[in-house]
Amino acid sequence: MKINNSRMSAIISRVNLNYLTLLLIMIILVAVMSMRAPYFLSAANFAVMVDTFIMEAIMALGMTLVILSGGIDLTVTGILPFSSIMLALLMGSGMSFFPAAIIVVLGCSLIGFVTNLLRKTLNLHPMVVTMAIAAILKGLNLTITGGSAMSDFPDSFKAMSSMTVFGMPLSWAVYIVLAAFFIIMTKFNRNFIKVYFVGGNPEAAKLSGIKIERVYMMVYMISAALAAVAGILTAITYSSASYSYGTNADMRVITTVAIGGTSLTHGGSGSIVGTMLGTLFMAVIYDAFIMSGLSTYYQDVMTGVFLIAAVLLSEFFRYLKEKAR
Amino acid sequence: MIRKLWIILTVLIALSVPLFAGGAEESQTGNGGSTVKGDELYSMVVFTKGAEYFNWCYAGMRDAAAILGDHVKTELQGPAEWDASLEARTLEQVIVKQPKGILVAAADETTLNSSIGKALSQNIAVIGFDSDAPESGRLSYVGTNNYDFGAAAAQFIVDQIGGSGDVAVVIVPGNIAQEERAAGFKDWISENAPDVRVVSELNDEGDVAKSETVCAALFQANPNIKGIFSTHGYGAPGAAAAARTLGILDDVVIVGSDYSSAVIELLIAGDIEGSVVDDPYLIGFESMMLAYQAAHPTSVPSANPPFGHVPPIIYGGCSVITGEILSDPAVLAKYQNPPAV
Repeated sequence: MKINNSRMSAIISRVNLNYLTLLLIMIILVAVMSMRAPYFLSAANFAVMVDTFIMEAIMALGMTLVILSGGIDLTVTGILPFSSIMLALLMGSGMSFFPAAIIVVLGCSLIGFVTNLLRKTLNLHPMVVTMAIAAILKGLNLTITGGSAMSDFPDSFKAMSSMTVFGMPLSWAVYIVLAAFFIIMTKFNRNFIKVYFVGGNPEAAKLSGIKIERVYMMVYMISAALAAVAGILTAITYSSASYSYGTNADMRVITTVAIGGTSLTHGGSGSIVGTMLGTLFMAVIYDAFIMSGLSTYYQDVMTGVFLIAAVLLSEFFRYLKEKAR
Repeated sequence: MIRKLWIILTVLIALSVPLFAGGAEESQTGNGGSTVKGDELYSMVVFTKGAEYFNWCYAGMRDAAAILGDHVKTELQGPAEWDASLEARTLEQVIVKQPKGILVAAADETTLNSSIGKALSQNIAVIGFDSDAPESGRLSYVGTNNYDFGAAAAQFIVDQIGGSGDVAVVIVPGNIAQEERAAGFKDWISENAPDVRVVSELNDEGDVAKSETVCAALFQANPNIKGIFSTHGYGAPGAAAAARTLGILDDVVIVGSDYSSAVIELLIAGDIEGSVVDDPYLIGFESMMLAYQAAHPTSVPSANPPFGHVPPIIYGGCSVITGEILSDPAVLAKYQNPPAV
């Protein structure tokens, strides 16, 4: 049966092919894995699967905004452990959890502010600035901890590792609230919609009166704050803080965002929902490797291949949509 | 554009074949095949998976499993990174598979505690090896007395430098095994070698390239350095590379820890004077035996019911290997054939 071109164009412009492709691959993967590994479809495995990628999922929300604005943020790999260490220090000095957590999140968002300030004043590519800040934080984390894990938290804090909200772990609840917030904001809030304009064409956005530096400042501060939230949740989960947490997390988070359809090559293209799907996809892939017993070396190969495939597919779907117009 | 897409999809499908078909599978290969009903799975969870040291440990585990019977299957899991939280996540995923036992080398002392507790609460026998998590409740620990390990390195290096001079230690802080090695090294020197000073502790993050950088900086900043001891396997090759670049290989005594193909080559060449070694193969072997013993209680009373009786700690010995020792072909043969994992 031959579908005429105009009908095909209408379908292409209405349907998000990125999401469909991701869902299709995930369905195939889940079906195959459920046959190969008896525990794959169990509730326990689902819980672990979500748990294992929840920190990256939270950071990916902020990273999506940064990439949408045309930037990149490698500081998350340093901020995650830094925030867990700061929390341990503040609580070790006798401060209770909530004030300590608020100070840590605000302090880390200040790192995002400084990152953006350096990017702007030195006129450097965000990759260079964020890489430098990540290196500084890594050194600081080691200096502060002396390389040792910090586990001197009060019992009330340790009890939070088993805390549930409406029957789900605390980290899931935090993620759901944050994801819902950013979905709504990127759809309806003017400041967040501006991120798309700035990422798509900064010059045009500037000419149309958008204060683009404010937008950049907002996304880097949000990304840093969310990495801090991930760090605090990591400390809660393991009742411990360590400089080793979050090693290479930046790459996992960027891969997640890219697989979710946010374009690494053209700012302004992508969405929070896509990132959520990308997160689920990565969680399924990582879990499938452990469950099937495949070598983790092979897992890295697959992650790289998926990243390239995601970028290419994203470009291809963009090409199809432009052709369909 | 469409051509590019087809190329990448072809590569993707080709690389996905093992996932779907079961190739490239390293788990459950202790004695071949996948698990079927009646099989028992034992998992080894490590950090920096890929390190030759852990490959030796896993080889020991695999051979022990083969002796125990065809029904005993093994797998090696863990992140390639030195990230305790990633290792904890891997451990959680392994628990879902309900293995009979798990052998764990902990990236740090505390992060894995709750995951190890979770495994034990589900009647999965957990044995610590190499790097301990002493507060986790693990049933037993198989490894080396790392304090004595460091002392052995100190004794060797003091002999080599003639009993006087400045020395340094390379360490990844936070790892309990390395902390103990460094403590044993420094204590032995302060008690037995009054003319030797430990002037610097360098953190190379367990990375050979970083080790070269920090050692090169140390050698230039402190020309009186006569010896350097690395508490882990990557430090000595890095220190040797730095000394070679600066042309001071003959002036500095480099002592490493553990063995790998790179360390063996450097020992034979004389670039590294010695390496303190334990026996990772036997550590893996013993750990597997203990996990099996814990998972199959006997009439012998156990301190950790419902698990079988296992001793709380088993320490293996350590010794210093040198280029001279490796000149014996029989000794060299062992070290030159690392196991494939």
